[in-house]
Amino acid sequence: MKQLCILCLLLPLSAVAQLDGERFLKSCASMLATNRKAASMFYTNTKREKIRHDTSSATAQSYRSRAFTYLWQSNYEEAALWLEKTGDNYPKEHGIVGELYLSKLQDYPRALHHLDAYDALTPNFDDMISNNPVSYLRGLTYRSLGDHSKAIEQFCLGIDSLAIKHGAEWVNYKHFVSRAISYIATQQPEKALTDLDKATKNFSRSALVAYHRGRAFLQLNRTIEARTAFQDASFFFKALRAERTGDYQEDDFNPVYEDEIDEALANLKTQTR
Amino acid sequence: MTSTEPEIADCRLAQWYRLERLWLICLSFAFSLVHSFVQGQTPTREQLTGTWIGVHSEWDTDFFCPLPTYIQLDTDSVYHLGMVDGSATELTSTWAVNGDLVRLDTIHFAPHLIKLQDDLLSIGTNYPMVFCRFKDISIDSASTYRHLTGHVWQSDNLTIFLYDNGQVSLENPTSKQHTSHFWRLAKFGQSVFLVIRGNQYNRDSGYKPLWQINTVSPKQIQAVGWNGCAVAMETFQLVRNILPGESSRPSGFQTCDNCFQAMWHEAPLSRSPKRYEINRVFTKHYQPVNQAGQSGLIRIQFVVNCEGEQGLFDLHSFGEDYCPKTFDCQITDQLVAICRAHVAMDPSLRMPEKTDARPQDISVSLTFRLKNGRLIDILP
Repeated sequence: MKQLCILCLLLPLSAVAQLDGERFLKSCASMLATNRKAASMFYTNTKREKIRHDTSSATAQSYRSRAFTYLWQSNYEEAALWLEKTGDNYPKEHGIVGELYLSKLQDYPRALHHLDAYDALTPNFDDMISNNPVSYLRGLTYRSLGDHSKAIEQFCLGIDSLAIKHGAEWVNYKHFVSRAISYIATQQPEKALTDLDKATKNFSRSALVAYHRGRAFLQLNRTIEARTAFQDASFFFKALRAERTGDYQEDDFNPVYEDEIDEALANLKTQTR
Repeated sequence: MTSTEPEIADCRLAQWYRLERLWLICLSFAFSLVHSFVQGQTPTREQLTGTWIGVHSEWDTDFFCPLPTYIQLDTDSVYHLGMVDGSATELTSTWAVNGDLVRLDTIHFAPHLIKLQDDLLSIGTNYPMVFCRFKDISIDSASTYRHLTGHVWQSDNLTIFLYDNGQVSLENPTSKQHTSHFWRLAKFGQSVFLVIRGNQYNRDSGYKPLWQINTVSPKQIQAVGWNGCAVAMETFQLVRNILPGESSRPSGFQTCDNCFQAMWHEAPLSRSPKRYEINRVFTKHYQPVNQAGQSGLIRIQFVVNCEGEQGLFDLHSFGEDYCPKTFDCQITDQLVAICRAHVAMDPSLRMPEKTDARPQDISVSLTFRLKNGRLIDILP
């Protein structure tokens, strides 16, 4: 009996084990390939990344990268320390620091402080931060603080100057959506619909635009059009999810979820009964 | 003053000693220079030829994952990559050394990425893979199995409980913390390896370090393997027989994966539909504790293993100035309780994107922003 046990132990255990072994060997071969070059950044190797930061020379990029690494690790104490250091030592970095406070830490007073400091560097120019003008990020910050009128004022700065100069088709459709959300919040659904129409022209398959059109129509008690808009939103959401990944969001600053759209449709059914 | 003959002799002797000491210092300096030079250099073809048993891959400076593979570099340029326990079909290709460059299969390694130090071969710097030179030791697997099974073996660094049913417990002799896995013996060449893999539930989900059995006697075994600090020969003394009815169970929370690092397995909650659900769960269940000053961030992290067990809860809190701060336990206890009852219990979190894949261990990290005891945001 024991000999049988020995035999069983010495033989490859099962088909599952075989499968696991194949997977393991494949991952080992991949890791060998990953190791063929020396990395300049280590990303998830947090300790190695820290050593790299500690030994690299002080530049705006290295300061920002360090702040970002700490943010990624949810080490908020160090992240805030390095965000502040980045802004203090490299004033041109105030913009990205402000954006990180806004998008990653949702710390709106600090975001505003840094965005203002960035904008003050060139007072007569609406400076860009990544792909957005500083006025747009300030608008989002005011919106998050609940001050929609100031938010609209800031959104208008970026949108109107670009639209007058080059035409509405050059405006990022997400900027129209953000302004529309503030119009809806301040009970101005007609203005919201105007913005959402312009947004649709710039991206016709947007679930985000359709969803907020539904909300604007609801405010106007145009329930049939609202239902159509929410149904469009649901359709575009599913289509985009199939095209991209499961955790895809059209706009991180204006997230929309499938359940949210379904609930809006369900509420509409309840109202019309 | 004139010197006597013995004084002159003493003086010469002292000079000779000084010279000899100086020569020895120079020699050791030169030796260390040559040694460091050799270490920095790409190993030669002759140095690389042979069989190398995987020790671990270093995923970070303090996080190693066992590597149960071998690399065999033959003199006729044939390259083999396989699993020591034979659980996969060996991959065969060719290898070469050309100046500073080493090629294994189709992978060309940049200069100095393959290093040799004594009997340890290190490949790469991103996730350095460490291999140990294999010395074939002829061992009878059947008698080794008879000696090992049903006994508890202890070295300075590790206690191993080898159960007859194929289960094994690994215990830290100091902390007494132990984990549960499965074991078997694997024949490799003439040698026998103790292969420990799997978790408390099954044989899948990775390996623990391999041990090559060197000698076996009724009261003691000697094996070479990673002891947590170095590749070393460990002597395991027989502690006792395993009692009838004694079974292998982990002493606390155990992940299914033997190579689990929270950051690598974080559930993607920031943009996924789950985020909407989580926002709703906390809005519904969190009762505000209206207290001035209860403002800032609370970060809760925990792990749910592949079978849905939850553990490794960790709570850190920060004030509005991002300095560490302690919140009222009415707030923190509530948040942890909601995490336990409503987030950790969600089985869909453990399901991988591929529909045919098995549930996996996941880590969850949630950060809440509070203002005077009210929950105002959950950070992305």
